[in-house]
Amino acid sequence: MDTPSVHSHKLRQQYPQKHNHYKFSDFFQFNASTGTIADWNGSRNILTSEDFIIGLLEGLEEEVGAASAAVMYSIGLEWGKQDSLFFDQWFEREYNISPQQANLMFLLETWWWPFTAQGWGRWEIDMADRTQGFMFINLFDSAVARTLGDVGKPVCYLYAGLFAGFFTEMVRKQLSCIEIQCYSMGETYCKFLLGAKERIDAAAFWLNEGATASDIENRLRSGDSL
Amino acid sequence: MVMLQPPSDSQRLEIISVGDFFRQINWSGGTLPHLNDDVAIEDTPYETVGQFFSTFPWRGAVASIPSEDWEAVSDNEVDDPMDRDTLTLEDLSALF
Amino acid sequence: MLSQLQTLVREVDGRYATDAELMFLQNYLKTARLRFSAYQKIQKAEKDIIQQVKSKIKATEPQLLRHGKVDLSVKWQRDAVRGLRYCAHALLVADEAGLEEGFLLWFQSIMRSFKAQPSCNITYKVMQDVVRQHLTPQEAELFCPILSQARRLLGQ
Repeated sequence: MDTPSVHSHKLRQQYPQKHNHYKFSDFFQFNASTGTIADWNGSRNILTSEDFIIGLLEGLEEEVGAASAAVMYSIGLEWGKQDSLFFDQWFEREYNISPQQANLMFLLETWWWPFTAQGWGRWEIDMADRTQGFMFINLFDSAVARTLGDVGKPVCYLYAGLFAGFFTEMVRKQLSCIEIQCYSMGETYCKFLLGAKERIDAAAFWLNEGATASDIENRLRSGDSL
Repeated sequence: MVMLQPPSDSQRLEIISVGDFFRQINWSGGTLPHLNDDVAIEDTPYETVGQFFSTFPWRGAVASIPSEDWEAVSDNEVDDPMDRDTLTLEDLSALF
Repeated sequence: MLSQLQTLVREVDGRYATDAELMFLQNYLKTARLRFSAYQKIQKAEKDIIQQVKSKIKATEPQLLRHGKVDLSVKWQRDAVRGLRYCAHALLVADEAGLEEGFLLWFQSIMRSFKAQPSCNITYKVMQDVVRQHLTPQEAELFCPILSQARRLLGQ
């Protein structure tokens, strides 16, 4: 998890242009004297246990009830927005090109690599439907879902918010995101839908009515709306 | 440390046990009296840690870059973020 | 070997390692000389290896080095040199796991984002044929599986 920090990374200072720096021992720098962990891009990291994730989610649910999903989404949204600014800086510093000019898939893979290194899981972007104004993100090994196990409902609101916040800033359009399939529903991986708010609202309605991820995909592709 | 010539390319390697290997380590670091230029190291297992490391290509990194016109590969050139495909964030933005 | 050494240090805590736990060291020592000599040969022949691979691809699959009107051969060469160097390093220290974690997994996502898997597939296939001309059969037997690992991860 990131908060800005002034800790510099010694390996990065030595090899500022090394791009394949996501191995655990490369990416993190453990500062024993200060008791801090810095990553390659200078963010301060904190290691947490699965108990922490469970405690966070259950504690929140106890405090605010059903609104905890919206709270987690909002936290993710702010995180994603702030991370897009942070990413802007380090991407340009590392590759000497502005994110707006870079190859899109390369840019997005580069954005996600620190998350992979931090244990948030690997992803896969499905842009086949982009001309219709929506896209899918498949997430493998969600830290949240993997921790909670099969609870019969989507649980990765933090991720949905993160994607919405990041893409909203990057493409400079108001976007929303919803998890339409989750490891915690017994699926093998999590699937997120990203698009304009009306679309995501429609998907949320269908999901609530019992639609599956492939039902939603089909309805979106056939141009259905509410 | 005992310096020896690197081994030839097609030697036969003798298999020794880990126990033997450790017994042969020259813990004191001194030069072993029986090691001299006549010893054919190709036929012997590693006698000492020094001997083992003497086969390591320490000097290789700078000594044998083949020619100067071989374009040096600098790290920042490994991937060109604009190459091969031209879909950008702005293109994506236009779709939403 | 390096990854295995790290595992050894972690697992053997406050006790002596068993012979079975040290077996990887013996296996490494058996092949260390071959690894060193192969590493040095690859280093000396890097330019020739890359040029030969490029010539073969140009002769058989020229479209892999072009994207429309754009000539990709300079980019290809940088990628190929980089890949060869990381593979050679993995050969030297016998660390295929480290190669995957430290380079291949990242490079795989980058190559996929540029849709360069067909190019990688052919490159690391041809590279195996070419390095056989520069190495002894014993050395090639150690190195080609590493190139094959790169091909498997980057080529699909």
